[in-house]
Amino acid sequence: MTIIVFKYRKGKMGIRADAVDRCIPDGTCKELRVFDINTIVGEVPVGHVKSLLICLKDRKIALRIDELLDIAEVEEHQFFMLPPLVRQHMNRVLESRVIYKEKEQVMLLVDPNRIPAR
Amino acid sequence: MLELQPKSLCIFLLDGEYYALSAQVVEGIHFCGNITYIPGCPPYILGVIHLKGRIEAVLDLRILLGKPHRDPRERDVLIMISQNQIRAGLLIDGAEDIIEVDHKNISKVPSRLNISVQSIASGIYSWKEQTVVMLSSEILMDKLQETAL
Repeated sequence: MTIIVFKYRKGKMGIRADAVDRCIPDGTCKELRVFDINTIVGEVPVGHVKSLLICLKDRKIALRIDELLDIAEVEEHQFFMLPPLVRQHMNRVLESRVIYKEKEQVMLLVDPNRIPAR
Repeated sequence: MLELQPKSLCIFLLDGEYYALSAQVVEGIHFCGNITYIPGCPPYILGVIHLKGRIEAVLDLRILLGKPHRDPRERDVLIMISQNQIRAGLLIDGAEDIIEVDHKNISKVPSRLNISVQSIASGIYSWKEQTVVMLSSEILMDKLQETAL
């Protein structure tokens, strides 16, 4: 599976590439409803350094992220379920599975279907 | 009231104080490495790490014991516990010893301890002239499940 990887706080976060139409510089499209990554995961909005919009396929929605880091191929064995204790509490816009690659930090995934349409 | 006492204890250090858990619920002790923060979780859930093919929750024992939070460091130690099908890693300063319990060294939890510690403690153990607060993993896990509701 192809994952678009972006910076989130001190780590990384990803979103499935098949749900993404394109990535564009912030402020270049007025037709899209833009959701900030910090806001949709329930955190306080913070300023972005290299702000970019991830436009979702077939939806007039974009996700404002801080910095695009990578477009990565991820194998099935690199997906892991979060523990139940964490799933009970975490923000529902996140997927209940995460990506772990050898010697890297665990990467969270945004569920594109759970980004609100309004 | 003292609950059913463990046969052996895993003694560890947190903020200069000694605590212990039943060694039967301790699955391992590891360096914690880089913790991935999970948005939306309560402050006592510091995040997750990958450990031996699983993703494990890392809990801030300081907060659970009513102590001030401090940011985790890479060389902090994680004590993995498993109780009633719930697994979690508790962040501690360092593991000290695993000992056989001598029941004559156990006394009741004194009221001078803070309420958060009292609510999780099952007794006090005298070890090498030190006071060790015995924590009940059962009460701890019950508390975590309650807060999840």
